[in-house]
Amino acid sequence: MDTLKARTIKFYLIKSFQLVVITIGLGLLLFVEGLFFGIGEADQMIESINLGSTGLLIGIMLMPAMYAIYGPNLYDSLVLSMGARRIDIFWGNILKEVTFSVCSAIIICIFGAVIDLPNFTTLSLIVPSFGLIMSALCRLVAIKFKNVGKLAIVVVALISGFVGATVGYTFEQNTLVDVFSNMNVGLFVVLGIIGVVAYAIVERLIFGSIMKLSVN
Amino acid sequence: MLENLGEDKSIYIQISEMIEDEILRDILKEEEKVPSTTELSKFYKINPATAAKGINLLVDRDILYKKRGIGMFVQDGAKERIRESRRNSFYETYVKKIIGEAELIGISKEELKKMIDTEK
Amino acid sequence: MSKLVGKSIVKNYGKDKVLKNIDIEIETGKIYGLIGRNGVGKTTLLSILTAQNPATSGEVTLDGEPVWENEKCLDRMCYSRELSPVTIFGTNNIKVKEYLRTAKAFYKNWDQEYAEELIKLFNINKKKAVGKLSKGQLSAITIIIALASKAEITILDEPVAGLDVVAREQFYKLIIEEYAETGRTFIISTHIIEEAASLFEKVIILEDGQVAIEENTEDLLARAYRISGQDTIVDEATKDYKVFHPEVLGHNKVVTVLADEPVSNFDCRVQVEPVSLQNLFFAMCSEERKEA
Repeated sequence: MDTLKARTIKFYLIKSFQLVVITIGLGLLLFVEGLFFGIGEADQMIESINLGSTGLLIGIMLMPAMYAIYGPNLYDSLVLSMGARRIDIFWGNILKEVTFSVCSAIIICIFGAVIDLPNFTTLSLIVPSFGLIMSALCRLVAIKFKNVGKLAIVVVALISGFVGATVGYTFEQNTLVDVFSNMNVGLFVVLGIIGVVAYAIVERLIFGSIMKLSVN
Repeated sequence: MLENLGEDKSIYIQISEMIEDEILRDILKEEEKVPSTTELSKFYKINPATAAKGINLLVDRDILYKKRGIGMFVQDGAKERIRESRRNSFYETYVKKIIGEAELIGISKEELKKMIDTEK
Repeated sequence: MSKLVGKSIVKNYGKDKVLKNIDIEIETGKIYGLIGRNGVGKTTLLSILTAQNPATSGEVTLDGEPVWENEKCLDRMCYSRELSPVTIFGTNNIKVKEYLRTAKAFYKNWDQEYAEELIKLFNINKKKAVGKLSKGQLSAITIIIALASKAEITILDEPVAGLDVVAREQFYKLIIEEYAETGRTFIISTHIIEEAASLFEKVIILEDGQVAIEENTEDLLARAYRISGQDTIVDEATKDYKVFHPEVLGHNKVVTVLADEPVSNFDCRVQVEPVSLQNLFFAMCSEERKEA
């Protein structure tokens, strides 16, 4: 099916899979780093797995958001200049983010099964849904405040820094996995669903501006 | 054929005059193929439509004719027709100018005639 | 023959009125030249014609169908924009390779073989980031994308800016070859009018946010003249015509005349010469400045 719509969708799907690969890469990198620095220590393997899984989770939460903050100005603008329709760009972005979240959820489940941490799988709803809502918010900011893109970057950097610091702190005390694992499963499900609903609401807001999208 | 295009005349007229000159000088012989519109437009970097306009000017005057699917060729008797039309415009384009300039600088008609007679 | 039509197009950026009621009709199968001074709205107009930017008001149609968000119309056009070496986040780090890959993915009739050929011709390193390219190389990439898109209506905005004389000649030749072969429609905006004028079958001159002229280039130049001679005689000979850019030297005067029809009977005491597109444009713009 060689329609303009199909070509646009394909473009965003490929971008989505690229992000998945980068995120897995990030987790692996931290895992290897943990192995490298932990040589000789007794709990070397466990420490590395904790480090890697934390990296993976942070990647899932923030990677699509980082993309979303520069996407409208760079990639959306690029494909718009090559004849893509605004409506296809809108749905392409959603598809990209949802695909990323679904892939992330699957990866978390597989990872949980492999490292034999039953609690880990419960993260498969909340973490990707946090990523979803972050990316939608970032895209909204990027579209609405196109001309203050640099400011937007600063805001995202602050948020990322805050999340990073929090994670870093909890990592000192406990692992991120532990923190999440100790939470109530029911709360997880509720937070996950709230995330998805919030995502839909933000997307609706973005939809209102999508027809104003123009090439830089 | 390979001279530069000037700005003093429309490009398509220059193209047609160039081909005429070639025919007059026997560089292009009767029944010979002339460069195609595309070749002309590529060489001079002009719009193919302009080159075609120049060629068509000559087709209308029975100087060139089209062989379907092959190209443009010089019509039989083209040279004579060009000579005739150039003869007709000779007075307007050249003689009038010479007389005007001669008057301006004070060369009399007699002197002018003498110049022409002595020129071999 | 198809038609790309812009009707009553207005574009405001805030209080700034860039395009004031533009009516334009592009017939396919021709090479158009779009000329106008800096900031007159050429790029804005081209963006609106291809639905890359929204107009404040007005409508663009291709064969009667609105172009806006219309898959069928958008598939037939390519407006290869000037690449920007910087984004709002700094240097544009997108690699040339990725750019071309995206173009390949989006243009329906993309010709990869042709693209590769052009990349070699313009000597482009595909591994370089867009932000690291020279101005000439950026232009070359817009040209490569435009040509290889094989789009029915192809628009190039300032394609020769930054190209050296050899590359410019190459570009004109490529356009003619491609046009002769396919009959694609090209709309080319340029400031180097002198070089490109003979390429344009039709010319559009934008002035003050409006279309001042949209006409066959030959026809336009056939009714334009440079008239010189003694000042009183020149004034008398040109009094019935639209006169631009008068210049005086002693008792002599020279003006550029744009008549409604070709004129064959100017007073024989004045010198009548043809005008090039560049000089006509220059004369028209000089007039503007004087009035302002």
